[in-house]
Amino acid sequence: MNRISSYKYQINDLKRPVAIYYFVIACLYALTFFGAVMTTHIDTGSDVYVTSSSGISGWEIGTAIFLFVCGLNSFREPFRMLIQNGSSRKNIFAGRFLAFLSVGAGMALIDTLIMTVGQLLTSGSKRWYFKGFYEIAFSRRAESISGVQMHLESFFLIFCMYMAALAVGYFITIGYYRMNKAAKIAVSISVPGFLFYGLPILDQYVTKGAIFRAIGKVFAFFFGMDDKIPYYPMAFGLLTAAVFLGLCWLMLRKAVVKD
Amino acid sequence: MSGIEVRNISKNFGNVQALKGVSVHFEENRIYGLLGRNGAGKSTLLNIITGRIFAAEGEVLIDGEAALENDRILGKIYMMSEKNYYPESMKVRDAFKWSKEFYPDFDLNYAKTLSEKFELNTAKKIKSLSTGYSSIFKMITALSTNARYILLDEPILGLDANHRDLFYKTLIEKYSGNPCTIIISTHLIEEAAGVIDHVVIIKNGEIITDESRDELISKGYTASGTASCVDSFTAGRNVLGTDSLGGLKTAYIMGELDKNNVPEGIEISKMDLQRLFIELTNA
Amino acid sequence: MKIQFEDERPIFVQIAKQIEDGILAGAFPEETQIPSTTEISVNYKINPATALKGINLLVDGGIVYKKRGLGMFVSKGAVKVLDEKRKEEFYDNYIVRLAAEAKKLHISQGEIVSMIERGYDQ
Repeated sequence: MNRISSYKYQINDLKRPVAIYYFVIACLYALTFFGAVMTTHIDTGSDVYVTSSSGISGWEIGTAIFLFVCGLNSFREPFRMLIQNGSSRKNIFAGRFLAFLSVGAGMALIDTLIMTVGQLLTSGSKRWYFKGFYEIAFSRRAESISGVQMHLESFFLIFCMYMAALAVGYFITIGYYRMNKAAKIAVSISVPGFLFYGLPILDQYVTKGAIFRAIGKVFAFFFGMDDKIPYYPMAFGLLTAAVFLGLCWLMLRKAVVKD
Repeated sequence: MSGIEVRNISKNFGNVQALKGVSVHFEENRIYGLLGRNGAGKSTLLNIITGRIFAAEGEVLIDGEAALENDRILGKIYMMSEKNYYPESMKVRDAFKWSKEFYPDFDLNYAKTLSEKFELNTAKKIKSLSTGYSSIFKMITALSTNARYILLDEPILGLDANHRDLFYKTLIEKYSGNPCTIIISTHLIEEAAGVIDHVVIIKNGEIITDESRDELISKGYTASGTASCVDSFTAGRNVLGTDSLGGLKTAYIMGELDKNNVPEGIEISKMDLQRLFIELTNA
Repeated sequence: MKIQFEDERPIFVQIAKQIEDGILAGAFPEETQIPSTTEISVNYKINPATALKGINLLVDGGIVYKKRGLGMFVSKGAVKVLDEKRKEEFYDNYIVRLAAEAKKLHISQGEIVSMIERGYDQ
């Protein structure tokens, strides 16, 4: 099988979910708009000046979560289908990677366009706002740089986020596929258990909060909250994607077709 | 060297040695019968050839090139197995279209014709096919790919007598028109015996037979008569097994036989492939 | 048209014999085409190579010949050749055995002849 066929097949699976996702988003926007209009109308009767504003903000997080879930569903069925039809594992991975790249870049582009249009529609309005993730996280920087640069940086920022989300989702699903039953149970219990119970308890009584403070610092650094520069989170996103995809390949190359 | 060359393949699952240093050469343009009891290692061998699982030792060459992780070489092979690896919610006709994408020589018209012949509804989802029609779908796909090497693992699972008849006829017609290498792994030996060119028998992870069907059959015969007659006749001969009914005995023998020198009281008859297989693979 | 897999003779020999039977019975007149290897193999559900072997037997025996691009045709005079062949086979399979069996049972040659005459009257 050649690369192109592998790519075509693996991106085909994503077409419908993406379409449904944007349909849902569109409905949500419509509802938000409607809901806001409804409530303002109700208030106007008593001549009260409406100071509250309503709108859309940071929905790109939704896209990232959606892509994470897509990543979680990207392995088993296509793997079996492509092996059945004479593909090497290398070819499967290459096609998957290109599909992720297409979807990540594509949705980042669409989301940037949505944001651009949304901002155009709500600019100058005190009542409506339409804020992208970038604007929220880096509001000061957003104001200080040109609109074009902001859109470019926003596009690239969410693209990196999306690639990371896809990679992590894919990693988890391949990881589970490769594990035998005992390992699956062990991981399913111990990892969340450690994260949500073990670590906090340890931190509270033993290290007196030092662990979470350290984690907080690391996150702030990588997400640029400290310096308000988006380049750190971009790099972090790409690095996460690269590392996890690398791990995915290591697991994929020895994956066997199971029943 | 053309064909599928299996060189010294070994595979174990935990403590169980599924294949022990298996070597065999499947030549071009032949119909092979890969026979073996349940658990003998047939499916394991086929899965290793097609790259679904990895061998512990040894290698597989197809047309002289290593088959492992080799997209170009893998494009020459198609296997249909008991398990279905197609997405269950996919429709049959969409599966055909994808097969065309993956195997450029896939003949959509031929697939359509066969589907009509076998009364396979191509609008149906794969998951809604019965066992028999699932086999039919997989078989039609395999034959339509026009791959150089077609592997059929239990192709007639669930097929009724009429469809089995049609299956063999379809297989022969296709093979006649487009020669390729077909490897059939089946438990229904007598039915397939006519079609098979060459027999490979696996027993406990090892190949115990690898020869042409005609040659193999010519080596076997049965000798029946009273127990004492048969016992004296079989002295010094390679007896694979015996069956007794009261004082009468039947011996299954492999080796040379001088037809003109058969003693009184012994009736000689030919041993069919299935009987040969049973006697060769009984513990 | 059926092959007996349990039959002593190899499949390709049986195929040749069945076609010979067809020729003798008039189903395949001289200078007409016999079924192709594909048709034969599909019909009997056997390997095409086996069918080809059977046909080659007939070619070797001068019963059929190949017309390039068209197929296999029954040779002129094939019926006569087959008649002779069958008569020889009849002698080998029946007469020789009959004589041996008769000798075993101490039946004289004269008695055999009258038995045969009796058989013909049936």
